Amino acid sequence: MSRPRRTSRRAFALLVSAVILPLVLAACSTEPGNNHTFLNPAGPVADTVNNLWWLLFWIMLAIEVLVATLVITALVRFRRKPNDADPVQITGNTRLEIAWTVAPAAILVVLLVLTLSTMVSVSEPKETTMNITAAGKLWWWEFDYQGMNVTTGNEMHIPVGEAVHIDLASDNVLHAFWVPNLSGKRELIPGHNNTLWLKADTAGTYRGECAEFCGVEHANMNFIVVAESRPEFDAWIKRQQTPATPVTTGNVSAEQRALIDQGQQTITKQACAGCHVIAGLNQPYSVVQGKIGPNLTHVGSRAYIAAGTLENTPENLARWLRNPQEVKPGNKMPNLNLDETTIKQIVAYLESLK
Amino acid sequence: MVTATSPTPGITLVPKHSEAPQRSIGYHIKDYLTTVDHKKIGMMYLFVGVFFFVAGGIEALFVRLQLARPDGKILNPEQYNQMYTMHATTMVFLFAIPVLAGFANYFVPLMIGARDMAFPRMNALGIWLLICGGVMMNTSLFFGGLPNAGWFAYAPNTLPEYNPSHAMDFWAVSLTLLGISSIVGSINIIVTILKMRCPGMRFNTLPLFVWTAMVQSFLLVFALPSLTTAAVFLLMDRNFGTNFFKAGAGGDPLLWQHLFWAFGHPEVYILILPVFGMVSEILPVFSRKPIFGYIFIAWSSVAIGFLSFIVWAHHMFDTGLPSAALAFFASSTTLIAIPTAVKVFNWTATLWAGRIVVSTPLLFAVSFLLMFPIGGLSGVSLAVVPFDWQVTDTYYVVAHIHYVFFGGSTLGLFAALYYWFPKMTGRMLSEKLGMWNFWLIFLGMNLTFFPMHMLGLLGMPRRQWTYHEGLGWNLYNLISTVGAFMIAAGVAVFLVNAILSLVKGTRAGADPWDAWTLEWATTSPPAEYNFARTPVVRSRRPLWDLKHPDDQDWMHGGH
Repeated sequence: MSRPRRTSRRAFALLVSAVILPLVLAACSTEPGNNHTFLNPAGPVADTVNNLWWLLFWIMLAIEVLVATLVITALVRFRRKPNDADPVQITGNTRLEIAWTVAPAAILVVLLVLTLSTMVSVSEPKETTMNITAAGKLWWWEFDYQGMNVTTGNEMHIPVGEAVHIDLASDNVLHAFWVPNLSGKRELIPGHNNTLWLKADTAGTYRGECAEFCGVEHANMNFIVVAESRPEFDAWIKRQQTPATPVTTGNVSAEQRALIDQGQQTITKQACAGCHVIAGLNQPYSVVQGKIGPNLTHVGSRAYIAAGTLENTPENLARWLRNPQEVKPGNKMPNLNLDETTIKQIVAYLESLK
Repeated sequence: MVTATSPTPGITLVPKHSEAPQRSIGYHIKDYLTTVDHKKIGMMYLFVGVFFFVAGGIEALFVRLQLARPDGKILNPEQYNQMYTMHATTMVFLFAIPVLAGFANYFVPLMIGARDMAFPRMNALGIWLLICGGVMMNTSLFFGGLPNAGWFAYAPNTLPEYNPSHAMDFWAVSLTLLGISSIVGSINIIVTILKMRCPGMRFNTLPLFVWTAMVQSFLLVFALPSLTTAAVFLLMDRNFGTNFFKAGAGGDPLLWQHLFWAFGHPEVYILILPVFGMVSEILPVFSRKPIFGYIFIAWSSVAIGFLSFIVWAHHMFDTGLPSAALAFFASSTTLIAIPTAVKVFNWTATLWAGRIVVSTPLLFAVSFLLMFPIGGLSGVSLAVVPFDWQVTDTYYVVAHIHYVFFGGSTLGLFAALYYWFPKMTGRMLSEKLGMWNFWLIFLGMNLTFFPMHMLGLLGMPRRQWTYHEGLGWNLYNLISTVGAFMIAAGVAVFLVNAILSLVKGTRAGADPWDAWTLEWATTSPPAEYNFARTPVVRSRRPLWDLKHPDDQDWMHGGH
């Protein structure tokens, strides 16, 4: 009796590790924060793909369980016992061969039809309300609202319920634009005019990221898409269209106001404009150059700095200015060796650019 | 002519291990440096392959250590990019291809009853080019750093303005060398199989490993030129002012992707087809019955070979290809799953109603049969274009390729190592250590690679050197790192097992598994000339015929 029991125990262990273990792993995904996925869709494209995925999942699971069951059953049932004679020397069975050629073919035809029909159903609608150029930089995103005179960095706002057309552009290496909650990804290829469309059904902030390896800071090339109501969006656009205007009203102390003032002067003196545009600020360097780093005209209004690397707080901005290479090693902004006073002034000024 | 009274002339069962004369170490070194013997060259391929498997594995451990926790500080981004690039480049070009070439070199002549390969000197050229390529690839470390643009090396990130060090020049030149090595090796295998089969060894009686080695060799011969072309274009763009991949100067970065994947997708099948063949040799022997559906396994390999050349753009679904192209490549990719499914069912049927002998080669082969379909199925899901747009370039794809390359190729290669080690060395590998090896690797690989499916679905892009806290990726990454170290422990057990068994393993004898193909009719290890007399075969299982004179396969009208 001991022998068959050992057999089944070993087979059981195999079964556990092959099939059950991954499922247990899947089930224990209780970690908070992981809503940055098409499995929590916030737009029609992600929603369609989410449904498609669960169908795929059950088909894949069924086939794997079928194969695993057959294999493990064979291992348990047909294990050789001492003194067993050779089995019947079967070499094949044409009917079976036909069956297991036709059956997968049938499933695959269904999948193919689904693939093609879904491709049609998620294609861009004729009615889009605006065109945004998403340009991949090293290593951050520039969003240009075509015809609206708005350029932002790493933060895109869109109105809820409206389809938005995105032109994807790169003048350097390849990148890929991806907002998992809203849509699939598309590569940015120099010389190619790739496009994508986005639509959010629910208001919220959705994380986006670069999904094509683009060099040293590929990991820290993220952005957010803020989907908000049309009035909120219009207000945001209007604000973004204005030149840089430090917010010095409200409960801003006189001391703080002085800091902001000094910060503005420092920025015009420093080489910042070689890489960054601050619209409305009289800068000594040519603005043509100011495309290496993000447009800072309304940087104080953004949720993150350094392409999603840090939350936009005065402390984090100061940390960044102290040594950008410590925060995001390899990025294009060198350590400017600024002293603490200068950092404090620049932080005050930039954070006031709401 | 074959006569009925002498079913398998030329082969006799060799009863005992024959002692090789004791020689000095210097003799052996000189012998290996100058050899043109297919078995010694095969052993060298295997040794080089295992060496780079360990090297590529250590690179993978660095990658996993860096990603074990959010905001990891083990590597800086530049080091990380070098590690992940070299992990893939090493595993594909310096581990998988050489190890498969090693097995083919060693066993194709033996299995078809030949005394050597068709071109022994060209065979030596292949191994030495491989060694040169491997050395060259890694010496870039001393000239400005290892290659850092990914094994796929997408332009324009590889052009000097974005990649000023010489690493990519080293990469392109050594890939060219490795390509030539593989092409000469493959031509040799094709010619050997076409011209050197012993009497009676028809295509219908060819061992399935030989079948798949032949299909793989054709794939290499036709796929590698595309990679070599791309590598030469890259060298010219980098050094001689051409603009093949420069947008705005008449070139196109997308050209690189087409050239690379026109090689790269056949490459996936290059790395798995011979393993299909190995598993098709091992499962029957340990089930004690012939392979189920020989014809279907052989010809589905050919079908896969042809189809593998028309699926490459499924790596490029997110590059903005026109809809018609997307539809075509989705269809061809779906199609290629059919011959693969046929194989899986035939292997399962081979086990069914057998008398299964559970030992390490079988355990590895069965785990291949359980794990490879996971990679195959997720591959089908990636042919569903809108789904691919979500998960391409995420860890879902990393999970997919590792279930194919590790769950498929590597587990199958371990099965082959345990199966053929006795033939190559004359010693058995320890079963006890073999079990440790198996369970560590089997559990380790599932811990490492299964959570990657979830990471991909949860939006984690691949090839990023770090990730931040609060994205829900911490646990899966940690599990994956733990699994990677389990795999490493399993590989360490294998190395210990191999060394210990070489020294004091049980003597294997000529035919320890009571197997049926011709290599088991030679001594272990085989004599330099393989067979004293050229064997003559009448069926797919010449040794079965020899062991069962009254019940030979061909007597039933079979093969």
